[in-house]
Amino acid sequence: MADPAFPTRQYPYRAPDPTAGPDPAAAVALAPGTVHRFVLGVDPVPRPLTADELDALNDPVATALLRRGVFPQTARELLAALDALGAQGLPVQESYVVGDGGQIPWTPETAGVARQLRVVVSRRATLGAQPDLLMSTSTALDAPEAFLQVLGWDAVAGVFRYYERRDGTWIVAGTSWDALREPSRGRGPFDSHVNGALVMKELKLPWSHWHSQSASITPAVLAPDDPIRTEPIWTERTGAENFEVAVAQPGVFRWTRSRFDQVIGADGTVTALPELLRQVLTTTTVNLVSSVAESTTVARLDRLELPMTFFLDVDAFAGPLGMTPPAAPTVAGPAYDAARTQLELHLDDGAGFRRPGETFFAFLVPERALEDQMVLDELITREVLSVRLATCLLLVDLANPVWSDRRAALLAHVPATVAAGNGGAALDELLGTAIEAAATTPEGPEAEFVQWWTGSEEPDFAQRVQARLTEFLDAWQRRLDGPDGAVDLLRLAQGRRRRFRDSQLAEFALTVPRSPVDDAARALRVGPDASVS
Amino acid sequence: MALTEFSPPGNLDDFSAEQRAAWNRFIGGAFDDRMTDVDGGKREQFFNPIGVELDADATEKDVTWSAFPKQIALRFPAGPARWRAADRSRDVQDEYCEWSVERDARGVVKRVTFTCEGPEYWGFLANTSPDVALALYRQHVSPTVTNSDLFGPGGRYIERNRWNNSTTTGAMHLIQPNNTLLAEIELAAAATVVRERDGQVITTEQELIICSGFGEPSRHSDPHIGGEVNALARAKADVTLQDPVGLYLDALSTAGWETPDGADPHDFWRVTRGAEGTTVRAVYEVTGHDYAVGDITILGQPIRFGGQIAEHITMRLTGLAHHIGRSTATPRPCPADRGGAPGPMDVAQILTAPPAGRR
Repeated sequence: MADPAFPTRQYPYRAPDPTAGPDPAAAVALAPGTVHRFVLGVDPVPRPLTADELDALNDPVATALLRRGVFPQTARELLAALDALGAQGLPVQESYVVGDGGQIPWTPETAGVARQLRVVVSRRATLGAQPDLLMSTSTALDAPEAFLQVLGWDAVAGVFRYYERRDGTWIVAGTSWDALREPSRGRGPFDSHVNGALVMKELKLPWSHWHSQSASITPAVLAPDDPIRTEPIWTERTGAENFEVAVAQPGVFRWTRSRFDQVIGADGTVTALPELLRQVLTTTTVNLVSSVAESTTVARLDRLELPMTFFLDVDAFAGPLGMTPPAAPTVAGPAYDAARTQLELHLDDGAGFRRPGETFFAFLVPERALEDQMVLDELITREVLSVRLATCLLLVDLANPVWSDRRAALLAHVPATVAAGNGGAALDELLGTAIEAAATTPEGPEAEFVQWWTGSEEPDFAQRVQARLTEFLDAWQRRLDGPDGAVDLLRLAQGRRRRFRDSQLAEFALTVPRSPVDDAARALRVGPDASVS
Repeated sequence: MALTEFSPPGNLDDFSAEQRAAWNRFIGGAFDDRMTDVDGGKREQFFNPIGVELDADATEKDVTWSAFPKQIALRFPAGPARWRAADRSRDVQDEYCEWSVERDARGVVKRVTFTCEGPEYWGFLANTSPDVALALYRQHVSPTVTNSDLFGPGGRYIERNRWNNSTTTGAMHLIQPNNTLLAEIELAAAATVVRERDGQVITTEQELIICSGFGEPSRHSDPHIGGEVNALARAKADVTLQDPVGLYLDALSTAGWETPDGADPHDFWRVTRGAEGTTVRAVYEVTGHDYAVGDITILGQPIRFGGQIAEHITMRLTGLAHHIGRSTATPRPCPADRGGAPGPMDVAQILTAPPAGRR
């Protein structure tokens, strides 16, 4: 039986298509006490693993539980089974709480609000180690129907392996590689674990929706009789600031590095290059970032500081590309507040709860995801991609740091393989030449690239890039200080939020605010002069 | 059993019996002085624990926060620019944790020292036991520290002496203006007042700190400490700070760190003053292996800055609550006069000023 509160967290992951006919997978009876495999897109129906297949699984879910014949049915049973193993059961545990309605206090009137409170538990061998097992579930720790997803790091295969408890047994839903390749890409757990790593959508300070040092998820959001109140998982919950540095970042890094180890041959040949460059040139997924100001304080602020990554891919430009981070644009608090009202921003859980305003922290918007940034970092570190080439690629349509069709079009020119080394010289030659040859239209992205590429070896290149970044942000600041600046800002934000809501990452109704302008705003783009149209 | 005297932070044993008694009076006086709110009203839910028999429902509340300065994290994207900014000056290290980085002749990081010892403790210790202070500086910072380095004409202790005024020459105790024990006590005391605005109780961290003015909103620490303490007050508890009153280095996460030889990177974190649970000073330094701190990587990047480590450190103070559910104090409006709250640090000014160095 599925968890009705979290339909996106277990098969079939989305609302079934009523026109599609009977679901063959639903008709398959799963043998209890038997590990099954069901990689959506690859396996038409679940099937039991063979003994050899089971033996080949070296993540702790397999080694500590399933291969020992332990098939926990609830979160509590799973953790108890690990605890029973002592040192072999990854004894160091931290728990975290996240909920998109985690700042809506419980009252009889709000009792029915879908707060979507989730618990994430990490388990690791020692204080100094990375978590090798992550469990995600609801606050119903003893409910066999509550969604229960676990991922384990397989150090032998160098992948995360994704598991789901279903119908009394356990299913292998795929590995990190299944996230990257068809026909499993974007399906099942990989609709949100898009590139195969673990995901923390709200990765950065102030970690919107998470219990953290910036905002606690307090017992005030729980029903008076909610049993989670006295559970150690709740009472000893750790802040998201720890999840970011101790779980999310190292987790994404370990998969990224393992992936690169496996796609770069001993001779330095990089295979699956378009898969890698996809994460530089397109927006495969997003994280969500916000201002650090509580929404209720904004009207009283002189200036609201906005996350830089909304305007510019500063994590790339001021990260591996070595630029100096410019100051982030700001907007007058009262103007922003007035714009929120004008655009009728509101939260709506889709089940009767509606409240004017925004999420708890103001200006929660999509930004380029950490997993894409880490691929960029690794491409440069491994000398697949030069800083010069990366800079020129990301300068194309820099005004739109996410969902840039112009920049994405350059992916068509990426060769299938390249030799790493020598500072990325081989790809400089191959891709630079390919794009130059395709630059037949003056307004096209290829031509824009060539304008930067030509002269990118000159001593003043970095200076010109820096000047462009500053010029662009200055233009944004002038816009924000103008009469319609705040409204333009929020229209654009709503458009990106609307686009986010189209993605599989958007599981919950309260994640981002809504507005009547959303559908029209979805098409908005930023021009090189910071115009919004 | 009721607490009979306040212990030194970290249960440090630097003091004579006389000094311990004086420290006890100092902390007790700090508590007593903070029973009155800025608007003249009594902070009914804040108490001095000396002589108080705690109720059976007494409960400790650990409050933790990141050691890396929030204002730097907001201003700079992750990476060298951010870490360099945090390492530039002790004055940007405002989360009650400050550090100094020592490098070898190649410029490779050899040791990073972290301290959260309060300036009040050190001012008192040094001015009353200069020999003890000198010995501690020689033990923990450099054997070449001299009396004239630490004490000015007239024998007065110099807090920002050449061995404690930068991120390269040593860090004995906190010097950032907002990093004080008294600030911690004031913060906790002020946060015990439940506030209301327009008939609604204020519950969120930023609204509380703006309303009450009990600290600096742009830090991780102050809003969170205030928020957690106030949550206890809203539960109608009486609240104080757990003895020994202090700020502590709580934990270091080394997830994603790698050493050249596979050794556990956590092994190189060494508590040098205080103890587990009440650590006031710690050092990250490789010993017994033929590589240095700078050869260890964090997410593939060699450690080149103290700030890289600080990003993985958690700080802590511990509150103590009892009489839960029994306070009769009523919520009060935001005080009109919020004098005393420290102002925001001018990050830009600090980062462009010449780094402090040896005199």
